[in-house]
Amino acid sequence: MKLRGQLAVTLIPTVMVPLLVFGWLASDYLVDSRRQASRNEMDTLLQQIETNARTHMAAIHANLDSFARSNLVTGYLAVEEAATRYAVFQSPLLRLFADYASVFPEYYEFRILMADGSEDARYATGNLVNQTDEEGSTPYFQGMKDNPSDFYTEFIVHPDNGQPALLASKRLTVQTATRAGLGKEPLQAYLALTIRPDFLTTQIQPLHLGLRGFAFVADADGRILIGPSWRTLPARLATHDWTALRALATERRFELVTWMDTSFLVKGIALSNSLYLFTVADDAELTDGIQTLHLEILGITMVAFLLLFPLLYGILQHQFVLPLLHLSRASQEVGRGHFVMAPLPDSGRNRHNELGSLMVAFQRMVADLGRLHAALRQHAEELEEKVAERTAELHLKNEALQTSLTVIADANKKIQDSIQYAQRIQSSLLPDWTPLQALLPDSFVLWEPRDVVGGDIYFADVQHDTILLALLDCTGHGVPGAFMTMIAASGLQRIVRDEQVRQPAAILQALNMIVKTTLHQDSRQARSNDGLDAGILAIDLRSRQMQYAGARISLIMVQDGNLQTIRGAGQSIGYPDSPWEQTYTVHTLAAAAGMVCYLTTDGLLDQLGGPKGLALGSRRLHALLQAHAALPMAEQQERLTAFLRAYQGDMERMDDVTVLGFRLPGGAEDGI
Amino acid sequence: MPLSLSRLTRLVCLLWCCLGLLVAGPPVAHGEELVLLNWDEYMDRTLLAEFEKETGIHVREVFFETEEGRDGLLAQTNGAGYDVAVVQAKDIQAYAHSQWLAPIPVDRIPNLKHIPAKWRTTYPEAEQYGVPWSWGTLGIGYRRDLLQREVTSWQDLLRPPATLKNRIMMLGDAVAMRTIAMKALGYSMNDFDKKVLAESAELLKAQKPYVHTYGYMGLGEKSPMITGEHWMALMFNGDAITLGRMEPNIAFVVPKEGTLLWVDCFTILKASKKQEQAARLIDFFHRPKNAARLAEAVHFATVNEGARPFLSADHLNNPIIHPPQEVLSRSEFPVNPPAKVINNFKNLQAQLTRKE
Repeated sequence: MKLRGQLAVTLIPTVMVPLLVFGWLASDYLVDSRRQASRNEMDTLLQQIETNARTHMAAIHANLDSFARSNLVTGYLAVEEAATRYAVFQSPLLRLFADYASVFPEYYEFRILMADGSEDARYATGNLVNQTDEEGSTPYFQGMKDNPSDFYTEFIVHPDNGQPALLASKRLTVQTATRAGLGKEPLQAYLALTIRPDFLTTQIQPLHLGLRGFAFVADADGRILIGPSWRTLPARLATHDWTALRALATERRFELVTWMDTSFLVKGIALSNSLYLFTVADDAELTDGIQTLHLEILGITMVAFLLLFPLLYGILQHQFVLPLLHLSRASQEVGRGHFVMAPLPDSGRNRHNELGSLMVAFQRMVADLGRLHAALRQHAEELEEKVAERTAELHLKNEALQTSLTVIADANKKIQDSIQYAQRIQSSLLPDWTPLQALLPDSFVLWEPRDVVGGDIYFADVQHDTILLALLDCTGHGVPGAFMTMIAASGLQRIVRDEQVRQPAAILQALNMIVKTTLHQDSRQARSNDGLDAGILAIDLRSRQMQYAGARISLIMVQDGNLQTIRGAGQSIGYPDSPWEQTYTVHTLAAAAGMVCYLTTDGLLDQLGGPKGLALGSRRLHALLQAHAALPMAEQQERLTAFLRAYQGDMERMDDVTVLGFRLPGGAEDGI
Repeated sequence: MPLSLSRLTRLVCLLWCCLGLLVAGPPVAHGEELVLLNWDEYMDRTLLAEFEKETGIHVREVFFETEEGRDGLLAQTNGAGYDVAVVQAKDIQAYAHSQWLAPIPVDRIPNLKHIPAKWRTTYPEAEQYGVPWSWGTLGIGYRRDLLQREVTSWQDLLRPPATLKNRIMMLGDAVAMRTIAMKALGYSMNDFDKKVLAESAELLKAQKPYVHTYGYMGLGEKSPMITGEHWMALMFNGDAITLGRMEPNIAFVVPKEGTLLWVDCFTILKASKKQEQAARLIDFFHRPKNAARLAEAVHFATVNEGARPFLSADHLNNPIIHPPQEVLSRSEFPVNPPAKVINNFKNLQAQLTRKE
């Protein structure tokens, strides 16, 4: 992705996320503020109306008290004779009431009610028709009469005009000298005012809480006395609605209530035990307002984003992207080998920041690179010249070497050819195994010289029912070993075939003399320190006996799973230090049918290998032979060969290896 | 610093002036004073001056404009603050029962002998608590020039033509208004049948839109009857003559249905500390010559028989002051009604006089 694209992709969430978070927090705060503001407005209105109402109620009490104390009122009641009272006092009294009414226009009905509830004097403004002048049975009069306090107030719907009215009264107790003289109780009457509750209606009727919110006043029975002038409310609240509203007014708390199929947030207070005031806010309007607020804040957030993003993008592009692109182009130019960097158009602004430092450093680096590149080019040219010279020298040397190699190859071929021919000679020394197999059908020969020719050789001679087997391991291997086998083989043939010596110990003794004689080891000037190990086994199948004599080669026999070793003598054949008349022990053994015999040179036992690189040794060989003795000898050869290969692994072959193995056949019944 | 001569002279002069002011105060400050509660323009003030000259007792008048106004003044003080009050004979009983009036000291008013017994006994207890001095009628006063028609009936006042809207003045007295309405309907003013009360009340209520003022028109030059603001008024006969002297176009008629007769009395207030001096003033007013002067001054008929020789022919022959017998025969003294009826009268009055 291009740098500008990455910058945009990085900037969008970097700017958008904080703005959205800020917007969300601001919205949350504003919503809370708005809800709280609505509640505060409702609370404030309630408190204002309540304070106003209580102030007016206190003023009404004070006025009532003042009216009741006026001379005209007390004088009026002091006249017991009704005719006199009416004739003399009523007009001034009504005039007084009229004066009061002109001062307090909302006081529109003044009455003196006697103890029996009869209206003794009444003054009313407007055309208020008096429905009855006997108030004794009205609930209001009963309430006034039963009230322990002299003052009594009650909100009602006035029966004379159907309007909400505040009835306020004071109990008047007047004693006259006449009454006292007659022993009568003081006269009781009531001064009752009917008041238009303008202090509530003027506040409540036009009141708008938002667009659809309002306030209203209800009496203790849930009758709505004063409500908004701009919308209709039911005359009386349903019982369950009123129960809920009165409870929340008593506890002065906010509550969301459903009323008139609308959800309202309502708070109420009890102005008195017969008057409840409520403020009502339309919850849907509040919610609408909040949704609008959300949209406004989202809009502001988006506008802020649209303003901030290009601004930041421009600043970052100017401050960072352009210099970096400039550097990038300069790098590409350097890559193409142009080591001249154009200055950034207004790099002066960035001169003192890290990017400016980078630009300067990069410019220096380009200059340095230019110089270095020139030096390198010169050095390379010099090197090319030297390489050309060395190459020419090498070519000459190579040609000389090639000539030498050819000479060597020719010589080697000749040697190899000689050795191959020697191998043919050595192979021809080996006996033909076929006549022997007639007598020992279950047998094998393993002959593996280390090189093309080797120092190991075996010998076999059959006369009638006797078999003579010899295994010779001459000093060294390769060509020297082969030479030794030639001496040993010719010596052995002379002893056995010419001199007819067939006793193994005698054969070994004679062979020792021949070798020593042949190699001149019998003199003090002997140059050869060579000899050989040998094992010679004579088998008489008729008598079922065997004779064995060994010089450092042992006979291994396995019969019925038991392995037995007939150790050879410790003295080798030949070598200058061996005695001239060296004698060897002959071992006579029963040639039991089925017994398996083995002769092996030390090349097998000394082969290094295995996981630790140790010599194979007698223990491992004996275990192998013992384990596989029951198998046919050909298969045993395969197993032995495989075992030797596996054990040797990647190790080098140490010496020539030769193993002879056979199973003694049965008796006469087998035809031997 | 020693006072200079000129400064000392000025100081002495100032002290003399202050002393002179203290000595030369108004004579009433030293003498007795009687407070007379009376209608305005209902007195011959030269008589009061003569009384003061004769006795050293200054008479200070306190005026009321309506009967109810007087009731209110007395009720406010429970009758205190006044020595003599002019009260209609019909109200004396209520005043007396309100403990406001002192019995008349008959022996201190020898001139009572000039008053025939019929005037003193028109109402219960009036003889005991009041001394009658004038009597009269109620009638319709009207501006002949403005009305352009003759008035003969209470119906002319109570059911006036549209041109009289807001041109009528009614005496604010509860009994006066109600009784003439009863007479207008052809009833006796002492018939307290519910039907009569209801009809008369309705008649007065229906008249209200035509009435400019419920009260007293005043007898000065600025009286609305003089200025032409009022074209027709319920008024006392004597007042019509007083106004007629200033505006000849003012006519007065006692309607054909008959009218209310009234007697005004002097009463002595029970709370007065100068009841003896009050009796002396009443006796002074009833000296025949003084009674004649008083009657001539206020244009009302006097009850004092001894005054006749001193009355002018104009006064004696004025049919407004002394209505002919046939008028008197159609007229009545209103009796004091039962309490409930009074209540009814007063309530109606309050309704009518209420400012809208």
